[in-house]
Amino acid sequence: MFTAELTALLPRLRRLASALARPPADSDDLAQASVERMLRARDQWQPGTRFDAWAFRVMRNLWIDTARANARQSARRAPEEDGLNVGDDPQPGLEARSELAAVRRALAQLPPEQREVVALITIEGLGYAEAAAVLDLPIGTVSTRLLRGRTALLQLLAGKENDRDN
Amino acid sequence: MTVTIDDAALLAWLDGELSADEAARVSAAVSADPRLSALADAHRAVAYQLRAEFDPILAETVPARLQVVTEVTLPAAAVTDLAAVRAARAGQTSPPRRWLPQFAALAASLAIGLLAGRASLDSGAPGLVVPGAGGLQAAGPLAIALDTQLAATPDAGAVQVAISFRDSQGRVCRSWQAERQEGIACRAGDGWAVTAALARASQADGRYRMASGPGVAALVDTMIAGEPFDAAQEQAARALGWR
Repeated sequence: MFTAELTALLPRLRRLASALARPPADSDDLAQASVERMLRARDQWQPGTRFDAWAFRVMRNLWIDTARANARQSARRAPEEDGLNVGDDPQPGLEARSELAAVRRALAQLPPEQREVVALITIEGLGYAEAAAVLDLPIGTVSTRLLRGRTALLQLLAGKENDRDN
Repeated sequence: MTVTIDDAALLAWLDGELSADEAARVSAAVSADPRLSALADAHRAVAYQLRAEFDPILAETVPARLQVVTEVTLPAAAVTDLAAVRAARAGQTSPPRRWLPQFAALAASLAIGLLAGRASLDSGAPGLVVPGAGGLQAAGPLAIALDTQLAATPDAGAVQVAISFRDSQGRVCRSWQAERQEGIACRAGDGWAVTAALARASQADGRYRMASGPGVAALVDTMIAGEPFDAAQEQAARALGWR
């Protein structure tokens, strides 16, 4: 039962990992670490409850600590850029990776708490209440973060188009 | 008269989060307001781009290191009498070469998964691990090592037994390492059920590497009840036929 659920969910777990992990981090490393944690924590899943929500929660919790630490570190490394490049990628190199689609680069530039909401709702198709349960947040907070994230994506992608035109 | 719609309501409407009444209200407002209408289109375009970027991942082949094997149907030809197989390979000291790549492929797919159910193996050339009625079983040099070898015997040969322990089901289990595989086997009747097998070689380039993932030690952690056997406990267990 458990392994069948997990096997069936693997493609979606890879997709979520790909949306969460910031290039050039290997999203399959996140997916693998998550699967390993699920195998160890398999007793915590209650049969009859939604497996995908449980699995997404395991992956997100595994990812968030690292993502937050990286975000803090990036903020400390480049304080002089604050105000000059608002919304720009604090990690040198990422912006220049032209093989990455613009939308993927834009998503990677969102702060972790906005990226996870966009990943779960817009990419994975969860409802707001489902995402709130995965993230253990009030639905109002999820809704606010989604709006911020989606609005930032609009601005980032509009900026990309302007760059191309110039 | 214009109805005021905030951006959060607009997004919730696009995401199908509103009740029918609310949705009708937002829909009317969007139709009447070019700014809202343009914003809705822009949000739709970004959502489309995101899905176009990430949805193709669903169609990709899942890498072997992520696959958790549950059950692979055994070909009819592979259902053989285990005793006959074992008798046929009595005296054999190493698994047949031509079988190894197939095992490596299987084992790689188990790199992070516990074995449950039957797995498919080439019945023509089984080696250390063969399919049995209740799952995979130890055979050949692995079965011999598990029956007779004490843990950490120096220069033990093709198969090295690492530690012995009792699992939470009360079975005696032993972790083992061979040239290209490592795993865990637990006493089942007069034989050994192989509960986990990890690849130690990368099939693609033939280079040796330790299995990625938690490794056998981590799997032992999930199974063990109490502490691993010390030398005296292990000798006593062997004297009792690993019961």
